[in-house]
Amino acid sequence: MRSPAEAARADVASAATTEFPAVVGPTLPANGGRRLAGTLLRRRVNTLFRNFPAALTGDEEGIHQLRVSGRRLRVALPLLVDKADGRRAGRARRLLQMLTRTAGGSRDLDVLLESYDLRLKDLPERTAEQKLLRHRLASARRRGRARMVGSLLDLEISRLRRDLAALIARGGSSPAIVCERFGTLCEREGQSLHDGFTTLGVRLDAKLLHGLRRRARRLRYAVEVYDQIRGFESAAAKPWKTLQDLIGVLHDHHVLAEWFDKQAQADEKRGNALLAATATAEAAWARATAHRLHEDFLAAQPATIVAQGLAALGVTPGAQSN
Amino acid sequence: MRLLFIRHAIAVDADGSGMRDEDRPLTSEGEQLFRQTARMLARVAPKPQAILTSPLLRARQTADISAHAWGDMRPTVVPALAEGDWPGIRRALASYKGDDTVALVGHESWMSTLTARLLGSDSHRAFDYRKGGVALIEVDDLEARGGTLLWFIPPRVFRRLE
Repeated sequence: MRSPAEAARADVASAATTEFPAVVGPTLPANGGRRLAGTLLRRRVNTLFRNFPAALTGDEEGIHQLRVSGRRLRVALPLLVDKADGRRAGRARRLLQMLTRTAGGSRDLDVLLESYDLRLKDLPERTAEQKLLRHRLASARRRGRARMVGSLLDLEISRLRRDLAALIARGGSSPAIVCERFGTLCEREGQSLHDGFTTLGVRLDAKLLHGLRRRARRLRYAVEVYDQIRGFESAAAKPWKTLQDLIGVLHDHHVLAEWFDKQAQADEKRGNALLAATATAEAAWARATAHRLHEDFLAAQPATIVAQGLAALGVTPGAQSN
Repeated sequence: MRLLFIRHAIAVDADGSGMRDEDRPLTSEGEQLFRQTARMLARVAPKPQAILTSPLLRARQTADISAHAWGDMRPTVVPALAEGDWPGIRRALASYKGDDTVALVGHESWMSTLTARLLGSDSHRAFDYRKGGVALIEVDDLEARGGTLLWFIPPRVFRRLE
């Protein structure tokens, strides 16, 4: 199995040599377009609710799929529904945000544990302190899942279902409106990504990078909707997926470093010097890995990936829409 | 308040049936087996003041069989029982008194998760309801996590009691 760093390097190599294809002009369905938008919306809603029972059992894959399907639906909703600024659509988006946030805390700990397991697997021998730190991380994940499951029960999920059913019943927007909304979203998010990467330069600012990753993900999910509306797979989502993956693995190690820092501080207070030293060393390893991944990320020329991605969407940075 | 949790009986499989999930009915075997369960349930469990059911067909059919076993009852559909939306379920329970028994007919996985929560346990996998499985829980306060599990019975035990 490849380590996250190796996987990221392979992605970087592929990203650096990839020419992202341009989006072919829209081929909108002549009729039945409103129905198509409604169907796409219904599919996403069905996927979300199919994942709900598994997530309620604390199943790792179920939680992940619930979060992903919730995010996809959040992006698709304002593109596809009739009266996107309406009360129901707004409430559904807020509930979806709560849903994805609720699933998020527990899922992040899954990823941290996975990253640390890969690190320990590469070591010839694990020290007792490393085993204890891993045990703490696994316990934090278990507690996180229990909290997440409890919080999922507290969501007004039947209201969300009702709102989504009512939105589907309206039949969705016409393809022309979906395309117009898509264009507005591309310009807004594209401009922010362009500005963000320009401001960031070669600095490693994990928080800012994470924000840019969220925007890339939003664009990717929006392209998926746009492609489905036109019945054409443009591959314009690929640059955003590449950015998402490259930043994601980097961010995971940054968060892992912060988690180890907290353990080191707590152990120092408890007077457990050996454990505090191990946690500090593990934090240093996670931070060094994040820095290495950041160098790989820069080597992939993110600004070029953004430019290619925006060109594929027909967005020119700096050209603001009215 | 006593909450009688009843998981729906055996229903037509989701895969291959081509039906919408909410339209899946009980199989004839499921209906027959649950009638036996319901007869015993009516003998061992206190007659509830109300039967609240999920709107999904398999749950409504299960609730109807239970209502028939207790005699002269009519289930009430509560949409929140489809997904285990706890705020919605709490609202539905708000009109009942402290010494009432209310039957809730619904689905996994929320039933085991909610059962664990009401009993103050984080082990939501500890209560695995079989189809047609039943549990009776006593709670003083729906917000608190200090309920008492009075019993938890798989359907095959009920049938053997008959």
